[in-house]
Amino acid sequence: MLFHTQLFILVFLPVVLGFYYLSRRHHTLQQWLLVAASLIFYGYWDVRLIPLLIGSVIVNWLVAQQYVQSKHKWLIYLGVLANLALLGIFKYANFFAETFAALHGSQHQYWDIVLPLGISFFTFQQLSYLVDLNRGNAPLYSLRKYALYVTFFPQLIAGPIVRHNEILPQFKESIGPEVMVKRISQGLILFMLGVIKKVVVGDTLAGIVDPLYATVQSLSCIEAWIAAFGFSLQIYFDFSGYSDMAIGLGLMFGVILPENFAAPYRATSIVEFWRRWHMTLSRFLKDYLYIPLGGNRFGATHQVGALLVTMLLGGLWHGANWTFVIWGLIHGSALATNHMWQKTGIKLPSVLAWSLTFVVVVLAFALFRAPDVATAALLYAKMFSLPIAGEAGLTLKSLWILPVAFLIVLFGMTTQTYVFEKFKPARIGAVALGLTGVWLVLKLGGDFGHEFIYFQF
Amino acid sequence: MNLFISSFKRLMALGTGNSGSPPANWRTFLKTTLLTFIGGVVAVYALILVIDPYDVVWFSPPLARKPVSTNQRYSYPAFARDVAFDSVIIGTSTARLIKPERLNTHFGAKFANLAMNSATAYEQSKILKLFLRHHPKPRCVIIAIDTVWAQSGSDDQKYTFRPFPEWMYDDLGGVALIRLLNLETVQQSVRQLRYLSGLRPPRFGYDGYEIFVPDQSQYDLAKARKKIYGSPQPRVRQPVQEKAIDNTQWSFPAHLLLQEILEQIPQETMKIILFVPYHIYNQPLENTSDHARWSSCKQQITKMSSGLQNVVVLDFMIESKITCVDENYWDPLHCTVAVGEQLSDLIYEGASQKKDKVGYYLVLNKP
Repeated sequence: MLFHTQLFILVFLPVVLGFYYLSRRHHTLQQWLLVAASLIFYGYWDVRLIPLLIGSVIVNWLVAQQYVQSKHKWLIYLGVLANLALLGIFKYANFFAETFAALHGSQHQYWDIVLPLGISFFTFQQLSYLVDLNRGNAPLYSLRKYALYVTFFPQLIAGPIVRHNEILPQFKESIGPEVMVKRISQGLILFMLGVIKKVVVGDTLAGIVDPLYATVQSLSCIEAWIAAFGFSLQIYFDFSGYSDMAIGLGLMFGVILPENFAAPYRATSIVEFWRRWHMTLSRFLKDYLYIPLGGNRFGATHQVGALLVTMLLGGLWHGANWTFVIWGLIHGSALATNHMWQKTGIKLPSVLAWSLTFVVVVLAFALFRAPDVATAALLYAKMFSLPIAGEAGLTLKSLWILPVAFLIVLFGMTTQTYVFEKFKPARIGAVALGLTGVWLVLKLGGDFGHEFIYFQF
Repeated sequence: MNLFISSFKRLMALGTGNSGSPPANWRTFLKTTLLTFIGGVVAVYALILVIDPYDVVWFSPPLARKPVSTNQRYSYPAFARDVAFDSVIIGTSTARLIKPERLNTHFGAKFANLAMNSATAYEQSKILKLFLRHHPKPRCVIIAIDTVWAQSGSDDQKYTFRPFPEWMYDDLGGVALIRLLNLETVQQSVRQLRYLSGLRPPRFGYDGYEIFVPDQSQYDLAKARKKIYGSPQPRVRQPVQEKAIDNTQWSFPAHLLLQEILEQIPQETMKIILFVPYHIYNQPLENTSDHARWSSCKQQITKMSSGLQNVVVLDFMIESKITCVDENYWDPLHCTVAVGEQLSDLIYEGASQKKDKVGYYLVLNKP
């Protein structure tokens, strides 16, 4: 079930919220209700995937139980391996087999494996829990709480990637009615802003970007740049819009989910970019990969290696495609360069630093969007060759969204700042919000829009 | 990382109740938001159901609604359900100028022309099936065959780029009507209101017939020829000799649909299958694979009709007094209004006499 559908907004969400608050005096019932609702939400795409999710939750929970009782470290390693194997089978089996076959000069017969939705996200969350348990940073949870941590539907499919200790204590909290009302209100605003970002801006950008990527062969230089630039904006509005919806939904249930985006395109360095872009993933990569790999503790060369490995795996996490691997390596190299540069103490002028950062990000996203490396190479060739102008039918009228979206990402207030710091409740605002909601519901009824980009990961 | 922690702390501070406005404000705010939202959705939906722009809501008040949507896929299901009709024409835009009024006079029937622009075979079958569900014993069914029925290959295209509201073609019970809750329907409701109040003339008639070509006073032969030949002057195509092709090799996925719908039409119903009159320059040249494909298509459809009663297969896609005259066409596919009317007469003639009319049409399934 997509967040931006009438079924979700008019039926699923009100029903679940209603039951959730009606049962708020019965924590156990309330939490099981939320788990059940999350499973329905997940199973709506493909009911066959529910056993996989339930199985994954139960196995990880049993590993944790056994580990706490026996203190056998190998149980944790086994659990981590099992999670990675699950990812490997569902997400990378064809990729690795294809690569292996290519190295041996043979052909791989594609296996028909369904990629379970959100598997990268819920597997990462469970990995983080097992590692934290091993480090002594996590308590043992009941099956109910653990299931709730993994399956909580606002964050189940595409994050934010949360830690057990960020979310579970909040379900214990008894928040007063005033705070509850405030959170529901703010959640509603954030959710609606997320829908607008995704449906109004992101999908409009997709209308420009998708046809260009479908005809890379015939693009001119300007069109190729528009494709790459447009996608960079599209993925931001799509994914940050999704994150706003998820955080908004969390708030409606009284739960505060971590921020995922903080105006990333204002970054004046790649290091800063990764502090602002998909923050929960970069935090995960840092805490569970980069630091265990040694981070910056063993000198510059080691740090460069750790960065490259971390980002390569971070790229691969996005999907079984060499485009993601190279994308990760580009970012790893950029981060390494950035760190080395910082050691020189030389500071670039802000505008130049921002320009460099933004161009690198856009160029890397061109690869991220391409279906394969060959298409990406072709797009790069088009970006740096003649003819300058082409005939893809792009008009200034059809491109209006590009400058608007660009100005928003550069100078607009972030949704989080607006909702949590600037917004003051007023009747006129409530009416405007309600009417915007009506308009959105009508808009969502007419077109089925695009799925979230991150649903493929 | 610091940025992350600070933002998270900021969020956590929300829970303390120490920030922002007085709680009562939030309570009022939430109540007003929800009331506006719920009231707005209910009000808009109620209006849509009452105005019922597509005339598909079974409990809406009986108003003299007109077809509103320029996409006939939305407007025609209401016609297909309307018991005022007892006969139907299906096809693409090449059949839209066949005039129901003329046919009514000839056949003593009440025709609806439900031919839709660029309708795929699937879409045509859907509208006919809907018509048959609501008219179990139709007097006459005309199926206008053009290129969508002659696509060879393994895969048949179901839809075009135009939206096709599947739900309108099924039973409208249950939650199907929730599909009306969208911006497009709001827009069409406003348009319907303007029709109902007489502020706007209807786009097309009560029977689906619409003159979609420009007014004849704007006809420009040179322009028409430019569209037909690619130049303002007529061209003559040189005969070609492609490799001989075995006609039996052609398979037409759409013919399965045709077979299915023909079997659903009662035996006593008059069934007229006609190949539409493309301009001769747009018809395939002999000795080409295209010609072989069309010939095969005609043969297979004729064969299909052999097991049926009350069926006539008329072929207007030939060299004829219609197809060889440039002045009869706006473009390679679409003839003038006058030719459309003439076609209506010729269909009746062909169906009642069941013999060729030299220079106009052939009867492919002679008794």
